[in-house]
Amino acid sequence: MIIITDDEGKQEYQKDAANYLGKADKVYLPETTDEINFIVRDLYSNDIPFTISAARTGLTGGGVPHNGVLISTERLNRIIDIDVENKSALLEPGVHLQTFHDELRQHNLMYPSNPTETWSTIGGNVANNASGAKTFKYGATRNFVNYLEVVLPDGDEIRIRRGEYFAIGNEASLNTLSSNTIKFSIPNIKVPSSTKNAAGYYLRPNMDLIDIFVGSEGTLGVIKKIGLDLLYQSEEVISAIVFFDDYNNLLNFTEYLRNDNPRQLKPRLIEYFDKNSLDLLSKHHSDIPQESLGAIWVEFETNSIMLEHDTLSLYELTLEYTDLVEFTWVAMSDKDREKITKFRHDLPLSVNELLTKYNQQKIYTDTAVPANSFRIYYDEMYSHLNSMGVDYVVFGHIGDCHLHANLFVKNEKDKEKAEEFYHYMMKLAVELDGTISAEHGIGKIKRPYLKYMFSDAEIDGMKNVKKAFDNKNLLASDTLFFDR
Amino acid sequence: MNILVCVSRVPDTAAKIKVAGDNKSVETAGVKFILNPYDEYALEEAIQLQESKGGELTVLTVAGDEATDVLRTALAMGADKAIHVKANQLEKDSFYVANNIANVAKELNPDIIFLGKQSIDFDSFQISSLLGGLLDLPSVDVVSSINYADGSITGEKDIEGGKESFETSLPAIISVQKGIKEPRYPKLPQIMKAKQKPIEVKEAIETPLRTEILEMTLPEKARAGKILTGSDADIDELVRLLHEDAKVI
Ligand SMILES: Cc1cc2nc3c(=O)[nH]c(=O)nc-3n(C[C@H](O)[C@H](O)[C@H](O)COP(=O)(O)OP(=O)(O)OC[C@H]3O[C@@H](n4cnc5c(N)ncnc54)[C@H](O)[C@@H]3O)c2cc1C
Ligand SMILES: Cc1cc2nc3c(=O)[nH]c(=O)nc-3n(C[C@H](O)[C@H](O)[C@H](O)COP(=O)(O)OP(=O)(O)OC[C@H]3O[C@@H](n4cnc5c(N)ncnc54)[C@H](O)[C@@H]3O)c2cc1C
Repeated sequence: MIIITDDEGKQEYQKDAANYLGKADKVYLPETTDEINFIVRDLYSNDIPFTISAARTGLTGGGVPHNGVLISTERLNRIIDIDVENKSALLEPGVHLQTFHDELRQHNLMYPSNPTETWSTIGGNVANNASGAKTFKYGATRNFVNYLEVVLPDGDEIRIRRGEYFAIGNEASLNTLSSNTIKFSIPNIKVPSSTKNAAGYYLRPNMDLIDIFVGSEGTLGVIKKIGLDLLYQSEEVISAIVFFDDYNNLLNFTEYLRNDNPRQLKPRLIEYFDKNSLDLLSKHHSDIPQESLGAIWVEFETNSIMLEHDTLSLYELTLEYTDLVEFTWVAMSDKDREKITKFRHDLPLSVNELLTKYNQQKIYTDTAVPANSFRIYYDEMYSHLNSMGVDYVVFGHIGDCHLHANLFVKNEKDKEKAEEFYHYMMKLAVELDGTISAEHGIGKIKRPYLKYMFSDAEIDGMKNVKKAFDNKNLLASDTLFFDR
Repeated sequence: MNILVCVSRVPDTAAKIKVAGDNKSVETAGVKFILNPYDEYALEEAIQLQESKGGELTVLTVAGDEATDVLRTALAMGADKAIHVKANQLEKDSFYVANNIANVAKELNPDIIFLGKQSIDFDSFQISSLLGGLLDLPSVDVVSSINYADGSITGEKDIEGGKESFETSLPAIISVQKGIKEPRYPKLPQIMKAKQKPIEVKEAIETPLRTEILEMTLPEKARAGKILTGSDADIDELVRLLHEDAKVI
């Protein structure tokens, strides 16, 4: 194990991708997964608070400590096994997503959870129930987690396979390796109707108890090993960027694809770029038509027999919905598809670059709503954005009715307006039966807003779950909740 | 202006290459193939030339049945028609390919022939120069920019550590460097149209191979360098690496 105590060495561990700043007394880098148990047991017996961090690409401060020890999983980065026949893998938590994707490709396998930030780790993804563009078809990380080993805040451990331990009604109990039993009640909480949600614990009566750990943001234990389900790669993929000169047509096109449709086009992802996003990207990409008001990136999985038919269906559909068909990009090879993926990835990076360049603070939304209220949400968002006079860029996972509105705040006045908008969007999302955070989680930054979504009783119910795992309240202080 | 672009079909850059059982060829099972990336640049240069000067743009490959996909891609990017010189023999060497390209070129009489600087599969650095010899035409390689005039062109080519300016009469053979023009994405309507565009199939002229592959092996893995900064953790890591990896202390 490596221990970092000097200020300079600790520096990079005290902030995340949102530039959220914290402080750690020491940083521990375990080099074997069993060292985690050893470290945690020691911290527990000395009453030292600790926080877990991985690649710190998180955007809500969850991986940034406020005090005590930071345990970083960066050296626990082995892919332990890829079982091609059973389409599953066993990994240490610190494996970077890109490394895993690249390795799987060699075996013609795919792990569909693909957050835009591929430097993030599998452990971080599980802790945040991360999601990506393909979540539209495949759901978030949760759907692929089949096994977890979790070191509890006292150094004990739970090993749990999906399908093994369920809550009985609202009562849950889990056995640890040293034969202790952790018992807790599952509070009845209101679950939003959006297809994505990363706010608060996953709690349902009769739930599979592996799910309590997925999306728990490092507050219940240290995820030590992860078993994942995998899929075969699709034989053929059609990937296209469709440009629109009319917002209404863009939304109708999206709605058509989101639902079952007569052309039987079932995308695996539907992503949105607004006019400002395209303007930003056009600095590095010459192929964007100037008349375009927005674009949709859409991908379909198909096979060599259906490829031609599906391409034709897409062509006919775009003819119906946009006058800019002639500009529609299509990737005909994996390489081109990667270029399109990069085009999408460049967007949040360009936004962050701009913010850093002008030393501006990023204020952005992570809200999502159910499909039947998406139009209201979309129209309200733009009517506010356009009346505010603050520069913005909107993009995101429109298939899941989940958009990131990014605001460029230049002065105090902008900041005031941007924050007002930010609160308004969260309240609106909740009003429309959606979520304040669809993928980035609550962490530390969004703690004040958990109460927009949940009643005090619901939040207390979640805190009780946390207490059952962490009776000394040592782990991840100030993540998710206040005043513990 | 009549333009000919020669394209080849190569294993995807991301493919894990294995040597086949005969120790002389590449195992193709499970490998995806793509249009040679340098040829995409050649095509883009050709398309933009055609857009400004008109004329006909033909793409050509010398390959087995499997190569139709890259011709369709080239047609989708904007070529007007394709010629598939069907090679019957499995093994082709550079002369075999160049001779077949030259044979078609003699019929087509193009004003300019574009190639990629190299094909990323065998990197044999032959075709454009061989073509120059066979057609008795000027041949300029690794070209990074071109200006077109009537009956001649000027431009720049990359040389080690710098650039060289050139001027040549047309017809000429040009192999292009990466980045000469950023290749476009095929556009959806073009892909649909490409399905209707003709692919003319010609039988190859069979010539005995002039080179023989004796053996093929994978290159030894280059040892990746590691950059360590000055923190205490890195000093520990350096000591560990020197001890365990390099075994010098
Ligand atoms: C440009 C950009 C794009 C992004 N796009 C997406 C996106 O499309 N979808 C998405 O979901 N997110 C996205 N994110 C957010 C971020 O990448 C994810 O939240 C990711 O899951 C964080 O992983 P990480 O390894 O960086 O974890 P960190 O940021 O280090 O930690 C995140 C949280 O996980 C906990 N944690 C980490 N490892 C463990 C472990 N082993 N055991 C227990 N808890 C642990 C930490 O305590 C913390 O609460 C994006 C971020 C950026 C900067
Ligand atoms: C490392 C390196 C060093 C070089 N040094 C020099 C130098 O010192 N001086 C100099 O003048 N030049 C130099 N060159 C340029 C080089 O000589 C020419 O680019 C060469 O003719 C390319 O041939 P090739 O055999 O590598 O590639 P090829 O395999 O010949 O492919 C080149 C192109 O030919 C076409 N082609 C290949 N196969 C087919 C096929 N089956 N059907 C149709 N078309 C096909 C494609 O357009 C392809 O891009 C160098 C190039 C490289 C990469």
